[in-house]
Amino acid sequence: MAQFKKIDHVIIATTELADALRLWERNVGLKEDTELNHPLGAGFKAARLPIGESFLELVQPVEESGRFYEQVKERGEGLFSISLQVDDLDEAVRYLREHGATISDPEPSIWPDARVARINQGSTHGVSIQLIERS
Amino acid sequence: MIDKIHHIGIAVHDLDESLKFYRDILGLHVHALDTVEDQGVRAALLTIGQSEIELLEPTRPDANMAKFLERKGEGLHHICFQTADVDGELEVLKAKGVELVDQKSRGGLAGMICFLHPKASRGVLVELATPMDIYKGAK
Repeated sequence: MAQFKKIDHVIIATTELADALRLWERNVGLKEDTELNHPLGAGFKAARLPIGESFLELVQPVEESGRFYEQVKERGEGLFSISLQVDDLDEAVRYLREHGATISDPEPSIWPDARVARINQGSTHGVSIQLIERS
Repeated sequence: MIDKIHHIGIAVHDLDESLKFYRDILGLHVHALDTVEDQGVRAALLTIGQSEIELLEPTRPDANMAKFLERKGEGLHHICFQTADVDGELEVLKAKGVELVDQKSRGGLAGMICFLHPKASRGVLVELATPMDIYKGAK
């Protein structure tokens, strides 16, 4: 059986990143770690807030296209997806397919150290779940 | 002071059906499974790393969870952070004027818990929890 090790990160969609950062720090006590700067040029800007063994990623779409933009337009701001870390992404994808889940092929992440695959929400009871392997 | 993500709450129509994916396929261990009457939910906590995934099924049509499902369908519902002192956190939040759902902590599946209003974090429903094994009681 594939091992699902931990919640790597949780993505939260917002329309006002600066205000979201202010509220998360003031009301929940979580701060951006600018050492974890996000690669640019993907149609959104983002900030990472470490918490325990995981981090939150606040994402604001800056173009009127893409999955973050669609989410905010249809469902409003809020929780977007969770990423679960696995040791061996190819093995995890093979295992889930064997067990009837629909999942994308592994692909490079915009993060240089990671590969990801997305499980179809029809398999997860409506939750956007991404599997991530970090090298 | 927040220590970690305690759990991610997921709204589902049928808890047993959702366990077929999260327990049987992902292989996550069911750490707790119970009905929380005052919230109108039957819920399970499944361990992943130092956190958990909480699956929540409404037990009556007027429960908040039932209304959420009607409005938004199944999916991510809330995020819960663990703190050693939920009552102390609540006092600090009240002093700052943060919008809250609960003015005092109450018993939940995760321990003593409270919810902030989604306005406090731009649309994310945030829960704070102190597990019973570290809860020291209200002052």
